[in-house]
Amino acid sequence: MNFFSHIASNLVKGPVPGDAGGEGASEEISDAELVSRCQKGDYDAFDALVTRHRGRVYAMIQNMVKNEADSWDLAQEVFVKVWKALPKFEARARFSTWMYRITHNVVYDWMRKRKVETAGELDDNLLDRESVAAGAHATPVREARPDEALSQGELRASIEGALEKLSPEHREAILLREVQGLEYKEIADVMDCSIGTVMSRLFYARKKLQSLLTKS
Amino acid sequence: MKNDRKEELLTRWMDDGLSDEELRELEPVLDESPELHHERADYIRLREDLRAAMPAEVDPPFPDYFNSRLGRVIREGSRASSSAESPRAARGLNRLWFWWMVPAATGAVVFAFLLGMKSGQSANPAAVVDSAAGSEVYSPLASVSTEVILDRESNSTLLIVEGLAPLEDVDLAVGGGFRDGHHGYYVNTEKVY
Repeated sequence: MNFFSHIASNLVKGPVPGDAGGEGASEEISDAELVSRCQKGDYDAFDALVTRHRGRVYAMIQNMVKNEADSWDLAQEVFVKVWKALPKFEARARFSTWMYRITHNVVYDWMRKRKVETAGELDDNLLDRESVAAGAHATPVREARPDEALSQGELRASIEGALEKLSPEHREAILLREVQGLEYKEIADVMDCSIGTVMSRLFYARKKLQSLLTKS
Repeated sequence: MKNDRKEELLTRWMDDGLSDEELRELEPVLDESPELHHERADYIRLREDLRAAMPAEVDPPFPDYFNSRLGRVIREGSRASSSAESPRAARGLNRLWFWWMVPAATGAVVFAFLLGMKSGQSANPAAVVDSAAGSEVYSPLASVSTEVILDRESNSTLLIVEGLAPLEDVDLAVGGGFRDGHHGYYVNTEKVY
């Protein structure tokens, strides 16, 4: 493989193209083209894919695991797995969807390991979808006056607090749909479940999120 | 209407993704629960807040290092796997070589051990000390500079530290330092050689 020759960053930095076929990629190289080059052993192309997608992968992981150092390591692990699996990637789905699927697997593996390692400790709630009641206050919540507008930081903290109280499946469904903008089918592919399950998770996750934020 | 269907239609209604026909199907539910309209309006606002507060893309800390480290990990993984994927015949040869080398290596270890014991018990420890790396305690001067030289060919790292002065460690000297002549290990703390 040619990746010994050159490892550089920031070759391509920009928005994720519309799909793996290269729609909307008039000026920059499409994911599909980069994937094709990667499959021929071009590490520069892979480096460009990493630069393009690392922000989304990192943001997704960080919102799931809530730890910067772990997120950094897990994002690395995602891209190592992407590189290893690229020869088998057949472009049936968008590259980004496939990458989110790998991200999902890496995060859930990490959660399972962590649950085993910390059994009986604070992380008991990981993967336990119904362990936190919708109205439960797991973190201290400041009572805001009705006329008090939330600053951006407060808003973020409030939303993050509510998201943390959701089960991992509900949180992931919300993040993939509302933050990452995936279609229902793509979410089903990423989370390895039916579209009906995605609909149900979104329905209850939204209700719970609304309830948590209204109470806080 | 079945619950699953209701959940699906309500979810897509929240996303403004219903066809006219589906909207007609949902109308009885909406008529029955008019508060759903408020919930939808609230959720749309919440979604905007969510998107404003949680960016879809956050570069990891030290993004350039992120890429370069990833490259190194992949390169090292590839080297390891390529060595593991050597032809079966070569692996067999390696194993044969390994079994031939076991007695030779064992003999070499025993020889080295005996040699070490003999040198350690020598009346003139300087012979051993000369070949051992000296251990010194240093004190930093006004400014200390360091230089790291990576030699990829020999897979070694050289660390050069300038601006240090040797410090006579009285405690170590009084206590005999790390010197342990009975077992053949010598570390220079007294500059006796």
